[in-house]
Amino acid sequence: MEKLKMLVLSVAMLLSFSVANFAVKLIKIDGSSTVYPITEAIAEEFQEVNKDIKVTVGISGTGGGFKKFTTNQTDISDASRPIKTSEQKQARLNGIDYIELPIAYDGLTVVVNKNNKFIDKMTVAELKKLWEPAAQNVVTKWSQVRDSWPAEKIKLYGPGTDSGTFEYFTEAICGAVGKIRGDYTPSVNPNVQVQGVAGDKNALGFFGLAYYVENMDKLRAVPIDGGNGPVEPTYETVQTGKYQPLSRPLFIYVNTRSLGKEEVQKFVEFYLDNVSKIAKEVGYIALPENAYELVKKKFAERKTGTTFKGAKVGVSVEELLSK
Amino acid sequence: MKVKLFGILTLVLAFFTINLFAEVKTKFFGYQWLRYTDIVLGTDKQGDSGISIPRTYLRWKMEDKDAGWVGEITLDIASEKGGQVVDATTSTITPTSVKGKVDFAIWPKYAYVDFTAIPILKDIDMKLRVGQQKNYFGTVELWEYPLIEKTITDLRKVIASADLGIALLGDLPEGYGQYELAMHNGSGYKNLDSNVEKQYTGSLMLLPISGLMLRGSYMINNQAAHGTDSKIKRASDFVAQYTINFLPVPMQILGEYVVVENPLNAGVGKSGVSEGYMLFGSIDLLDWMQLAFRFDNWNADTSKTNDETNLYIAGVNFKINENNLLQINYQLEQPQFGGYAETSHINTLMAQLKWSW
Repeated sequence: MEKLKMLVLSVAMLLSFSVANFAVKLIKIDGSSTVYPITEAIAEEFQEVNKDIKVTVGISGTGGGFKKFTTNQTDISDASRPIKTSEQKQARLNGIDYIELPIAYDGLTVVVNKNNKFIDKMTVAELKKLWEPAAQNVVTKWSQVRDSWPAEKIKLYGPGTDSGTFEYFTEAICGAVGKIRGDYTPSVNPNVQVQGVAGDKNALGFFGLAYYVENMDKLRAVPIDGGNGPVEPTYETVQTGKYQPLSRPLFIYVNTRSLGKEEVQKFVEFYLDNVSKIAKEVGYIALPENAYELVKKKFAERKTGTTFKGAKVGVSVEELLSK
Repeated sequence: MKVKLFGILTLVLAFFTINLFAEVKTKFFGYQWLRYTDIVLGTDKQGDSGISIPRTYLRWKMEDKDAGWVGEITLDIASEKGGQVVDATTSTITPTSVKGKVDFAIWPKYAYVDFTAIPILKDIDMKLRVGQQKNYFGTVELWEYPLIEKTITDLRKVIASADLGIALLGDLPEGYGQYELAMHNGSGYKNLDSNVEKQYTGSLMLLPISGLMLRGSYMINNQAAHGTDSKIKRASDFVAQYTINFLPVPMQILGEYVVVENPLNAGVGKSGVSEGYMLFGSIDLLDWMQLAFRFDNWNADTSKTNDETNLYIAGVNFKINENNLLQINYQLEQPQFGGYAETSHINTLMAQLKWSW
């Protein structure tokens, strides 16, 4: 009996540290670091008008976020890719139904100096040759990337390693997140890259399309050949998915069980009402307005499952949402 | 034995070498169980009692997506009886005057590589796993210890939780399930050398609707050494699980039935056939509190009467935070020998803090 009393006392002490956390209305979000700036900005605005609701936004990465989401640990998962088969399986196993909501586009633009006349386009293989780790201190002149280019010294600019842009670019071009040569100038501020590339005709950098659009007078975007001919990054080519492999839709996944909580329902509605504006503010590309209407309709109808997994390149978000 | 141990150590060293020199993504995790156990035998005889650290797992996961492999090393630092001297066979604590083995070991529980980009296999969501790995059979690899006790197939030693060998693992389209075909050593990860023949397992899991899981598993294990008659152990297992997630209070129910034919246990008056079932249920009362219940029935030999064992477990889990879980379990083991005589009961009270990083 004494042992039982000791146990009960110990449990009470341990729980006193944790129970206090459940007094507030809490919305738990985790996942992609790329989607994080959008969700975080929306969460901030939401909490300003809903003081009694706390929104936590984690950055475990898309895979890490789905791991929590499919085991019922989070209400919403930020994702920079559609859910995978293994993650769908985990969700089914745990009885978790979800609504897949595309919220914006991410498009990366490779830029060179306005006066650079020789780089007319680049293939993915050439970009890899230029940026892969093996290129460090080896590929130093443009002629090493393509024979017809001049033997001028290459100057490279890129984002900081903590950014989603860095992760996305390294994965899409070099094959794995974080895989990149080390001898380039990194900066967390894309404007530093803009200045660097604008000041050197042999420089090259990459960042979100929004920054390029703001600096078109100083820079030139390089058309990228992802296997179907060179495509220039524009809002249209990004929105239609033609600009590959450097454009992709971004998502949030909502656990339908969490929608039983009024605060989650309210937050997702707020998210969909404001994401178009905020996505642009934080440097991403908003979906077309009619796509947002379809997203809202999908959410209102509680349409579960994925329509984006395995979608072909070039198929628009609207087409996929209409499925 | 030496050759196999050398093989595992080579794999472990290879991982650490890769970790040091290659550009791979590496993650490190750790898990530890801090446990208080109090056992009362019969009505008042004190059994083992004390605080122990039965498990510490150190886990490294490494991957190179570009090269198409993912690997894992898990070291299992085991000490069920708090590092005391235990009987070499039964693992019970021995009096100080009796010689035994020290209850402490470090095992490479998992040491495997998944090849995820093999042509053709990749296109059908299939991968090849090589090394010391989980056994995909019944609930043995699914059991996340919502109760402190092992799952029935592990507890009754139907199959070990990990073994050395190769396996093909695949997912059904759209997350409708998974399947596994494996060839393992067949003696478990702590006894790699006791058997020269191989164990074959096949398992199919179906997820027809969200929350419902059906799994059938089959195992053939030839326990004979080379040159002797085959002594093939066969086991079949069926699991049904339903997770109800649409209610305000999530619940899970699970039933597992297993039957084992083992010629080594057959003889005069002995069928060599064992069977058992496990019923489990849990309710997530609050985000931070779960109640769990279990009933097992294990019939060690189907031709004998009064040799069944019932096991009742009730537990409560408190999620202190993301990394800390407190579990309190009471379990009653009721051997049927002597018609449920109370003196044969084993009462166990356990409190366990599981923490991870």
